[in-house]
Amino acid sequence: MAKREIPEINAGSMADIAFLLLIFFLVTTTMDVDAGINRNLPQKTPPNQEAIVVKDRNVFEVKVNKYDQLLVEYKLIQIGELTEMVKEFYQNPTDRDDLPKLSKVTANNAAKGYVRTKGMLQSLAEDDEYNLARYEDSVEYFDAQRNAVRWFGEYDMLPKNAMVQLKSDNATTYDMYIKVQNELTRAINEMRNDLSQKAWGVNFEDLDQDDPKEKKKILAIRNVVPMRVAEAQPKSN
Amino acid sequence: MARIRKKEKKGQPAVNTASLPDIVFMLLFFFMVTTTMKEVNVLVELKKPKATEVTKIEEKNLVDYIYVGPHQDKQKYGSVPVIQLDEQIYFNTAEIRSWKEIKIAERDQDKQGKITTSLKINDKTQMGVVNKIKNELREINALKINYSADRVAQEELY
Repeated sequence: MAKREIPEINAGSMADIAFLLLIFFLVTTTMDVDAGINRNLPQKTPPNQEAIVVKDRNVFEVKVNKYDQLLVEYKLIQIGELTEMVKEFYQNPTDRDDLPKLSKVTANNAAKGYVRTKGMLQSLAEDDEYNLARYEDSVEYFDAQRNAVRWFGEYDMLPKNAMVQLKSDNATTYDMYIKVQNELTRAINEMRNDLSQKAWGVNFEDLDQDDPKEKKKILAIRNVVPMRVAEAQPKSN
Repeated sequence: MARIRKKEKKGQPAVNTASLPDIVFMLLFFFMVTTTMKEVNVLVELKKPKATEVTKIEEKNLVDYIYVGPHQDKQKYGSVPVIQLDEQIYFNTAEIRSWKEIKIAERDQDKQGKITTSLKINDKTQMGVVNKIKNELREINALKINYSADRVAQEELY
């Protein structure tokens, strides 16, 4: 008797099954790129804490009214002008006295400040929580400056209280609000990218968060160009 | 002498389709890995605002979504903006705190600081309700938020 060939399993239908599953996933995939503008809300202030008085030159007021008009530092402007004005506020290139006065950070005074506050921190009592927290913040502040000076050399720093203050009306359109937030973010991103390009030839956005060395670079840039956008409670008319 | 065989008229050799399922499986695995199952049916009309400076949300399992906009069922709900949390519809912000606290409790303790709230708000909404939502989130210290927006190139923005 001739040797019978063992019939092979017909694999033709395997392709059909694979196609079916593929089409299922093609149909159910949502290419919903979840993206947006990140923000950190300010912490809730205890009701009896008095408002900190900030010098007028250190506050950059951006107001949007219920007609979606933009009023910046008492001037009516178009949205396209906002980015440049924010950059001018941050950098004060012509040293105007209605814009913040930048102070120079050098390796020397950053190191001195660090050493001094660290010393004070160590001399505090264990249970002096209030001062412990304050001095820990100061140590971190000078440490961040030391890091930034290490990468950039001497640089000009925004005063600690300098802020962009965004005021919107309760009837402002969300669309306009996002446009304004977008322009503010754009100004800061552009300044950060410029700094990063000058120092290392890469964009700030392309620095890798997970690499410890690059993380230090990221922190340094965030120290020189901080995100200082605050929102005032809106009026409700 | 070798017999010269008349050249057989060969048909075109059929394409070997044995590797076709392999290719299909590869595509399939790709989609299986990249698909994110949409968790919630969005019940509000949501036309997201456009922006250029958007960043992608990294860890999707550390994000909670708040949808705001007019309900799709205009006859039942009218055209006022409503707030959707998971599958529930609300007309005011009273439930946001308890909802968010539940969401925070559901997650790992060590990831607490990284939980983001994504605000998906219809672009014609007025800021009053948005500000109320933000205040509620501030009350419970859920400070990381993300204003959801569609990414566009600069030219299309104004």
